Amino acid sequence: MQQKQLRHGKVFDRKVMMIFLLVLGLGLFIMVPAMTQPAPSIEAGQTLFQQSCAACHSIGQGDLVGPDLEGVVEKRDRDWLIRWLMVPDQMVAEGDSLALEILQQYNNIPMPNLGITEAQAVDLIAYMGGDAQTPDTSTDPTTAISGDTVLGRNLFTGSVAFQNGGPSCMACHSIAGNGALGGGTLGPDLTKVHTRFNGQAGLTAALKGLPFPTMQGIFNDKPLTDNEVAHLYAYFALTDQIAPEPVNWNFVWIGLGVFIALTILCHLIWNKRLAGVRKPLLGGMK
Amino acid sequence: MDVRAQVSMMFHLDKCIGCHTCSVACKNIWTDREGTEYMWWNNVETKPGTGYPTKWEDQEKYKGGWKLKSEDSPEDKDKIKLRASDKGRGFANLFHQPNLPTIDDYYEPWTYKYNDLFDSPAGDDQPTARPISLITGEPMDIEAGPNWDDDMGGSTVYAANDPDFADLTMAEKKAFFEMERMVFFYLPRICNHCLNPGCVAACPSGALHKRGEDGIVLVNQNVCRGWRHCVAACPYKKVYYNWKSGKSEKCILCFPRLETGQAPACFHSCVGRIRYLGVVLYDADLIESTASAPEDELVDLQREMILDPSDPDVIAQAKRGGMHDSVIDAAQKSPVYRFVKEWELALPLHPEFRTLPMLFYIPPLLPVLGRLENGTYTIDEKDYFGSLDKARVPMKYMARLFTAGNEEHVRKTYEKLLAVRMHKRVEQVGDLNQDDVDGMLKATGLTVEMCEEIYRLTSLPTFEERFVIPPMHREYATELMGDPYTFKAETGVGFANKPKRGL
Repeated sequence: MQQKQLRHGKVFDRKVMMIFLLVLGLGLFIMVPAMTQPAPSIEAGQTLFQQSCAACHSIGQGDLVGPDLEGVVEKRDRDWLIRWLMVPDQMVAEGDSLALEILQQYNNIPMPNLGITEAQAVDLIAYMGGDAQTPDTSTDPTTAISGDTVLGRNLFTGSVAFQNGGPSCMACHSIAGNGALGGGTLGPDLTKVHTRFNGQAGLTAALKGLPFPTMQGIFNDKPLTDNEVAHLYAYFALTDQIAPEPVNWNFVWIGLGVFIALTILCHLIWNKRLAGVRKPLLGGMK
Repeated sequence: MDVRAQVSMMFHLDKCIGCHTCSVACKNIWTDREGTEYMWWNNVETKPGTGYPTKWEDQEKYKGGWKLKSEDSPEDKDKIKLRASDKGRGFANLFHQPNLPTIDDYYEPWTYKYNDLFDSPAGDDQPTARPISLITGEPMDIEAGPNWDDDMGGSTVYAANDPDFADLTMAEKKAFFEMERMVFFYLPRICNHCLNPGCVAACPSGALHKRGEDGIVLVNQNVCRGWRHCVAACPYKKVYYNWKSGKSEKCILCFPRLETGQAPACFHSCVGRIRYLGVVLYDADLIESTASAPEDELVDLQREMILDPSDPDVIAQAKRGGMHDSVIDAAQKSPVYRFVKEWELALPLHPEFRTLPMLFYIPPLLPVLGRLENGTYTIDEKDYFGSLDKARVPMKYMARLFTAGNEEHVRKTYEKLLAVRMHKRVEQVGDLNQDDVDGMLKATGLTVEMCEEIYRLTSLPTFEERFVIPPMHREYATELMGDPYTFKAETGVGFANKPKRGL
């Protein structure tokens, strides 16, 4: 096998090799800039905006969870904006003054890192820089449905399943007024989510899109239906009135209690398990 | 009729000298690895005694084997269930099997620090090799061993607690322990490769199986998950948990030796030549009904399951089931068939466990108490069968061991053994009355020819007569399991851990 390769190597004459490399280098010189800077596409930007941004942002329809993006391209430095679209979490972490200011202004709800590439950011800027307007969400049919708070609660706790098979909210979120064990602690407490997400328009949009990196992987193929969004919204509007409960330690105490009870029970049921046969036969003898 | 073949075994206890050569042969081949030090796939126990693990016969403690469902609820007739676990309890005890022997009931394995004998600095005392635990590696005090009560050592503790004394009255038991009367015999034990194995039934992973072509019961090391339900379910405590690999292991009847035509190591090395091995054909359709029969019928029904390998119907049926001619041929020459079925001499150990063990024993004819009269050893009985009532180990004890408490049954076997012995004595020594011996033969249904054959196969068998090993025909077994090309270019015995090949 190795010998074969060696013989094969001799086919390449030095001169031929040089010419080949020269042509290859020239080709790269021409190709690479063309590949790294493709023409920005407004259509691609629009699609992406609807997929990833529209849950929290409008263009020309006022603030939702995040700011209205009309005229954002003129307002911000282009390089800053591209970086902000790509790695907002990193910029906040680095303490970028503008980023912190926006975070504070919008109820400390951070803009999630949506994994947008540089090319996609360029597309988005092309779209937002045009005279595009997003549709008016205040006339969205979803907001017209009046939700049922009881059904919303049941959807939250999982006693009624989501139609498309998404997991119940309680698996990851807790909320005030839900019993001693509360809910999950993976996601934030949702008691005051109505206030935090700027009321109906913002919260409904967020529920429809669920544009959070952790949730997207779960709900992408299992979106909430319009009715479910309305019920959940109604429930969240109700819980907004309740004061959020402090960190729930009940779970720990109940867990500890059950553990001790089970341990005692196991020892009672299987107490003969480790009793040998030979030693008792011997009695005191050895 | 579903005719199947079983490599079956017979141990002649009268010939066992208790030398443990079988145990050592087995240990050196199979269980000298880390995690298996405490296992004795073959062990030799002294009876009366508590055995290994301690009091393994006491199923009140270990919950091994099967029991009739009617013991719990009378309306469930003729059905059996595992004593240790049904589905509910099996699930509840999955992580916490409560009926296992502790390591102390086996014994804590040890070695000695031999290097201290050579490396110790000069001093006033002789250096000693301290015992070191093979489990913890720390120095230890030896408190027990696998044959700790060998030759009735510590009889006040061990022999006195033998579960097989259960049927004896206090007076009978006391009489046994009188110094002048005391007697013991050896009971070598390996896996019985049962027809209705409790270990196979109890395994939650389905790791145990009974090999179709020869009935050897094996643990698949790739499937075993170490739940240890087999350890609890085997009433003979012949499945062992390897604490190093986390899997259970048991006697494999040296199948790699059998497949190459050699007798298993313990059989091959037996000094007293007590061990016989051969194929028997049996009717698998009868397993369920036999295993769930009333206790006093168990021995007879198990014998009935064993089929005559010379019967044309049986042969035809065996061939329809895919059995090779050479296996049928081996079954016709099987010494086990002759002892168990033809002469009805060999008995299964503890048939009341209902696993239908396929290792049979000829009970020992222990010496009775007699006296010398005019140069002849005499017992004061009218006929020689009467000596059985004077046996130093009461028939009740033997019945508990071999016939589920059926005294008549074990007595019949003893009468035959006595008859053969008296027949040879009148022939060769000539100090007995020929008419008495003829009467004994008549009473037991033996003929002179049968006595001669029993004598020959007991005392003078050749190697080939004791071990009739059928050709194993793994190629046929492989074809039955599926496409034989699956195994082409395979090496080793495991499919999960293939050997590395090439450069």
